[in-house]
Amino acid sequence: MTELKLAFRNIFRHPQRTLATFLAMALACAGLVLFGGYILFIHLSGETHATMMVGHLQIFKRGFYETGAGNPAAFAIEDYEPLRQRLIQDPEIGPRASLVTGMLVLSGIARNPESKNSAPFIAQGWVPADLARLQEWNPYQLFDMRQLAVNRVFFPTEPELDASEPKAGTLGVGLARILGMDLQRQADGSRARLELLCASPLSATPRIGVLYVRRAVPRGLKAFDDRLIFLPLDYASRLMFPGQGTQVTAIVMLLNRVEDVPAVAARLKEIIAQQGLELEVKTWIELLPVHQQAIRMIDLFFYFSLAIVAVVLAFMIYNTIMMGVLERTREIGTLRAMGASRKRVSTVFLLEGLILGLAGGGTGIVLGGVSAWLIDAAEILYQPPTIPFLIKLEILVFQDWRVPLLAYIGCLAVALAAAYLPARKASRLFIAEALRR
Amino acid sequence: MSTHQKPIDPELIQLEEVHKDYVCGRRRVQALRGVSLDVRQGSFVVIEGLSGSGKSTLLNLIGCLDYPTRGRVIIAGKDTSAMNDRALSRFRAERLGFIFQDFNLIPMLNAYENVEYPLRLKGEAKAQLRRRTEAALEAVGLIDMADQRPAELSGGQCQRVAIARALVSQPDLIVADEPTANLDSHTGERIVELMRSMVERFGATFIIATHDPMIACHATHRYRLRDGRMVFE
Repeated sequence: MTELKLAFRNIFRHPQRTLATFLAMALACAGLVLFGGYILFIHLSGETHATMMVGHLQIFKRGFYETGAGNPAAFAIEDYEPLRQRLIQDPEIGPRASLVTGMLVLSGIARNPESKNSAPFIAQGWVPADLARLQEWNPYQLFDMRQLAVNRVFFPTEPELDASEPKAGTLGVGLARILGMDLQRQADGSRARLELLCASPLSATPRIGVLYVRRAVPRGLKAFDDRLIFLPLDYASRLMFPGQGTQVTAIVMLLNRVEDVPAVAARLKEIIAQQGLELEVKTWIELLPVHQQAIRMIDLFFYFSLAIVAVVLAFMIYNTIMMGVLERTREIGTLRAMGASRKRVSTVFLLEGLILGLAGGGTGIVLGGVSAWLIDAAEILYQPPTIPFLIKLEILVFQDWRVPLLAYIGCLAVALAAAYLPARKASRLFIAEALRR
Repeated sequence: MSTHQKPIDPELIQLEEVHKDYVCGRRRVQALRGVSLDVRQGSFVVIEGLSGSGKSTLLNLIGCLDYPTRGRVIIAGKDTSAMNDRALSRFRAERLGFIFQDFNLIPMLNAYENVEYPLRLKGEAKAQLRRRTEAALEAVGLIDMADQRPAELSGGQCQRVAIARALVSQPDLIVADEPTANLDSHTGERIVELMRSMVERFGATFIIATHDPMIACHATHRYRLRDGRMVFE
């Protein structure tokens, strides 16, 4: 008790020095909170955008992931609908799944009959409503970038595909440019059209279909911009597999929680093995390894910065506490002479570090929260790599309790660790020598 | 503070051929050279000597603040030279009190808290803490200044607080190093009288290093140190 009293009062013995250390602690903690909140935002927004592109899990015909690009249609999952139903009804998968849908990849040559230009394409066939659901996926309630006026060009009010237009799809802006598309509606209200020439596994001759173009969409990467087409799944399937039921090259699953991915993937593998199916399962991380690589790089940068902040802060606190030990040497000698144990003496200085950590860290959390709120209010927009539209910078300080808690615990740990050496020195002073100071 | 006399423990301090050497750079300094001393309980012992004669070294050893190089220091029947740091701390808290030339009050604690601290070290019960602290302050006439911090007290008042602090836990022995050196003669005289009265009231044993002849004339025993050796008078 007296140790706590002494520690608390000694903190205010040199107000300026204490204030400087306190501010350093508060700013460091606020910085950690902000940086941690930003890193969390990067994690969550990266995961959300990745999931919008590929879902949480995809099931393919074995070998499609490695070699399917050469002839995607040859890797079609014929009994897609029964399998989809089986997955939805599975007691382990069904409750965890938000969406189970099919996607068909096809490739070929696209030709604009007006300009006579042609170009190779890769197309994805989606169920329009399911594609919209995927593209609206926002489990962490992040700011919806479609609300930004500057993003209007990327997110028109109408969806990318529409079930009421079974033969209409969208092109990458690069492909539209290469093909010389004029996307203005005709005088009769009809849309510009495109001829798709693709190889069907069922026929020796190529299949030709007409695709009405709803609009050109920026895809973020030139490779996608110049080649990618989205069209309704039924139409894509009819093009590739005329006269047959809907077939897909991938079953795409969206789960309610990303944490369920390993469990659902394991269950899928179990079903596949039980049924002897020629299928394989890939998680979103396996499908988009670049996402994890980018996250790891950012995390490393975060840890590096964290280490620098911790070292600077530790030196500052060490210096403050050590000054106290040097200035109060005789006082320490007196306490020891009266019978205070080494532990009691070191406790005084550890408590000083702890109080600085508690107060500075607490203030830092508040400061970080206020700064995050100000940043949010300032609506800072930026364009991350591989994403064509602008997103709003968000600092997720209080959305995940681990951010402020870890920052706080981190500051306390640094304060205690930095106070340890001066406290140890104080407790080991030679009493008679200390009394002579 | 209760006024009962301590049970008689005739040989409270026994020093047996105590040597203390210091290494100063490359030089070995013999601060004490075979000092032997017996002090009985209730004594008011004064150690005199010139600067550098070894007075403070001797008090450090008797006060269990340092270990002898050779010889034994026995306080209240315990060989303190053989105790480890933890045991010595405990021993000091329970059996010893200190009065310093510069008072050495803890500046961030008020008079009450300064006096109370040794009782806290002993782990006294809360009710006892208050009663004994107030009694100690009462005994030195400073109960009305209990809330004052050392910076707000005069030198004499500080030393009285220091005496109350040294006596509050009713130690067997109070070690005082030049307790009047920083006080004017009038205040010094009052402090000496106070210390002397504590011997009579509580059976406290004082061992005091001083140059002050006024203290020396109150001594029950006077010893003189010269070049680390005891000269009996």
